[in-house]
Amino acid sequence: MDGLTLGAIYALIALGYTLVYGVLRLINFAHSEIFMIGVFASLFAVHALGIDVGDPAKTGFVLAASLIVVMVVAMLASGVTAVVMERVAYRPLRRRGAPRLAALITAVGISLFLQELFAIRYGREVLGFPRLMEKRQLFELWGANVRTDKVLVLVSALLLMLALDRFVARSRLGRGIRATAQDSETAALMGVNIDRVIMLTFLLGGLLAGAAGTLYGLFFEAARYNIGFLPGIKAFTAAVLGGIGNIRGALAGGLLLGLLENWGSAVLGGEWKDVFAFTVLVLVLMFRPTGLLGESLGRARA
Amino acid sequence: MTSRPGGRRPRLSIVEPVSRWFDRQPFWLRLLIALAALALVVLGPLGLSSYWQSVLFFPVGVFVLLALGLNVVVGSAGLLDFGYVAFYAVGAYTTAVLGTTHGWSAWQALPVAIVLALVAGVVLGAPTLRLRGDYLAIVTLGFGEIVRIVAQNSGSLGEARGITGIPHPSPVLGTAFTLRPLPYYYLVVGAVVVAVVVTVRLNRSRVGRAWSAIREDEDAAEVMGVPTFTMKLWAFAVGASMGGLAGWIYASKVGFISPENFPFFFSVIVLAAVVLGGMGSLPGVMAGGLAIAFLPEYLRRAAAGETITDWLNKLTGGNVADVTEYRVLLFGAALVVMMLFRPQGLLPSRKRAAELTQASPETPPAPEGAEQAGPAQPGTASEREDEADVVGALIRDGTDAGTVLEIEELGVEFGGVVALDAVSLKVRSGQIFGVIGPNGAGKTTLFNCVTGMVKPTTGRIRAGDHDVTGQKAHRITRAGVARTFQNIRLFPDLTALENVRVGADARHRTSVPGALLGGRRHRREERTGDRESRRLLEYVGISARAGDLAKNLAYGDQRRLEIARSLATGPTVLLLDEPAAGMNPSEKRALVELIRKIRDSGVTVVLIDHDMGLVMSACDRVGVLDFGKLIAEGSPAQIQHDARVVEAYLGVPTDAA
Repeated sequence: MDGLTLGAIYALIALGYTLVYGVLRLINFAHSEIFMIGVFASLFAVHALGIDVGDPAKTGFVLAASLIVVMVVAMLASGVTAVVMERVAYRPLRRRGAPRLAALITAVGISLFLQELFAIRYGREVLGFPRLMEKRQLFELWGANVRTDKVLVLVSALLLMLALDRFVARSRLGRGIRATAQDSETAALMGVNIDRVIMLTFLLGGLLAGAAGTLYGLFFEAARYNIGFLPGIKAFTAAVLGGIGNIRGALAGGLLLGLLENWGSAVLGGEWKDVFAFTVLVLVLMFRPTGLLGESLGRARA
Repeated sequence: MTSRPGGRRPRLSIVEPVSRWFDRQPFWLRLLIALAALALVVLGPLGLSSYWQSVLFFPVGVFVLLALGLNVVVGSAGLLDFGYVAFYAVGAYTTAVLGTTHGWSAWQALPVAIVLALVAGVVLGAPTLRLRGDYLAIVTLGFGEIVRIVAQNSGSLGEARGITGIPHPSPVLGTAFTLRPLPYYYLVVGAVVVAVVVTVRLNRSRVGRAWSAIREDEDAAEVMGVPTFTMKLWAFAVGASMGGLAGWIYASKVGFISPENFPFFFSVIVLAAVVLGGMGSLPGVMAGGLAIAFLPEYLRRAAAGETITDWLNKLTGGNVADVTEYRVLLFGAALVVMMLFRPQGLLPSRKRAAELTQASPETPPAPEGAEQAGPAQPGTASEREDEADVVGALIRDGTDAGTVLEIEELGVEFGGVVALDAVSLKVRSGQIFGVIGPNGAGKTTLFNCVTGMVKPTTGRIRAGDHDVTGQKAHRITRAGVARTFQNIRLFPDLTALENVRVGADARHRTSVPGALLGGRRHRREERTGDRESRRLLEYVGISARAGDLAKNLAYGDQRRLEIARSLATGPTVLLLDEPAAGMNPSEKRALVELIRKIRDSGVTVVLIDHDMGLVMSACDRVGVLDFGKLIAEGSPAQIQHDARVVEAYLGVPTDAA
């Protein structure tokens, strides 16, 4: 159950990598920081609602309303950051037809910049995240401890992913994304506004990363400047595992990686958990670089 | 393809004029300048306080060394490594473990530290260098973390506590290595000198040319006979060993290391040093390392530092006392800003500066309307015979082999689409063999298959006596099959001569050890490679453009250069993919003449073209492909009257094409 919960969060972040990669063929390294900003924005939203560490957990309508408010704030914060980042850093590079090396260096530069900005502003220590909801065990299923917060994380992540899948498959803008992913030049010739599509993919990725930030905060109850680094890499691993550029692949990859990691740390010991994820990444890249479901955003069917 | 700031005209490199001026000076003056620089580096620190001497050792000296090492990977070979700190860590931990638990002296540990870092480079490189560039970046990043996590979790590596009591090096020449920084500073200077010498030697050898070629166009490099995988691995190994050396120096100076010394952002700071200075430029990279290490330390002490800290605190809403807290933030921002405004770095290398400042057109001048009738052909017959020997002399197998290229039942499928279907062909020595067919008939796929760029699904390919089916492209090239590309694929930012020399290196064997030690074979290969390459440029008629960047050549000259580059690999068979595309009639005539000349030199030519006039007049035999099948083969006259060929080109009503 822990594996699935974590996996769902990975999957939400992985979608950001996958969308941007599908359209731009660019690994947006700074996406992990978009997620980090989502966690911080959730924390601030919770504080703004007047909830502090140690306050009694909320229930019923108050809980639902505050959850929604917090998540919307986080999604907006991350989404806007992602869009600004694209405008300021990536678009000029794209205009110039700069090599991939330049885009990657830019990405890692942004990533470090954002991390340090938060480190300097809010300190390098772990910030506590107030408990919003009671973490009550609902029931036990095959030895797994099914808890309210985990169910909430899993269900909301799945709902968001379903919404994204429908959006890309059905809407006009979604069609634009798929067309651009297949052949951006032809898409442009057919009247698709490429810049808008790219902005949209960054926005969508950012929104989901923001939601992931809220869920992460809810689950782990902590925020820190470098909190994005490991989930970021793991989400990337999940995206590659499922087939980068493939929306459903990100979901499958995220859940699978969460489970694998959980299993791995049970077998090898928790301190090797992170090494395990990297090893999975290397193995997948070596033996099945197109991932389990193949890499294509363009062919993601309705 | 290459970085090119839009519209903005960057200033010229200052390295270039200075180094040119330096080269023009008489020997005694150059010696004097070098000695003066050396004296400054050696004697300068004597007048400094112990604090600044220590800063000169770490971070300044260590960062300059690390930047040089990473530059081999990123600058020379164009591979992105986000986990460079790992090799530094391997060097440091090796020294620490050998020194503390095995009682080795620092000097004994030195070679082991370097070798283990090199091995780490190979271990990381072997599985990952096959990956695409951006995957490579993220895997190296992961590797950097793995090394740190392993150190943190392994009892024998001291876990998070780290390792203390690492022995200092024993005295050398009466200089004791204690905690005093100065001796270590000289040690680091020595290491930097070694790193510079190694980099320069390698860059001027077959290895360096291979790295440049890989950076420019990896696929084309492989087809020109560059063992790309091995060469990339060497770049990783050389870079890693310099990192290991830096780790050794650091560990034996400070005597204490812990995982905290090797965080992720360390790799990025070194990368920032390389990018800031200018990837591939030695003075730039060293200056970058110097600046990035020295500035924060300087500002920490200087009055200006406080002002800047206050200002940054206001800007970010932070509240820190020490300007070095802002180090990583600023370097992150610097990476972004550099990529946006000056991707070539502050002190770019000669080549990259030229690439970015020359008023070069995006594409070569359009061939249409070009009035000049091809490059002048060298005149007298005796001269031509002379040149013919250049090409003939490079052929390794005898020209009387009969069949030089034999294709049997060759089939290629791309996910269900049949691109080639049981094609069998024999090309006899000394022929000009034409391959024609409608668009999409599989002509280029045939070439890709023969040269190893595409693996055939079924069938066999033999070049001379070698079965080359499914072999790596560079091996096939070495077996005597060379090619050109339909859409010219030169190494655009190398000179014409360098392009040809990459081709000539297909016949050479020098690798990193040979190039470093300057062995006899290395010198011989450099000499003959240079001579042959110049003569080949003459052979195709563009010797006047030897020093120009390939991308600045006129279109027709680029085609000729590509032919020269392929000939340099010493082929028995030369595959030309639409060599006449985009040429005007007089250029085409000159081209046919060149192709005949190549044939007469003893190289068998297989050519694809759509110009029937050219194919029918130039070729001895012609094969026709249609929908992946060989539908006819024969003399030009036979082909012209073959009913199936006419049908393929003009179509029949039932044919959907």
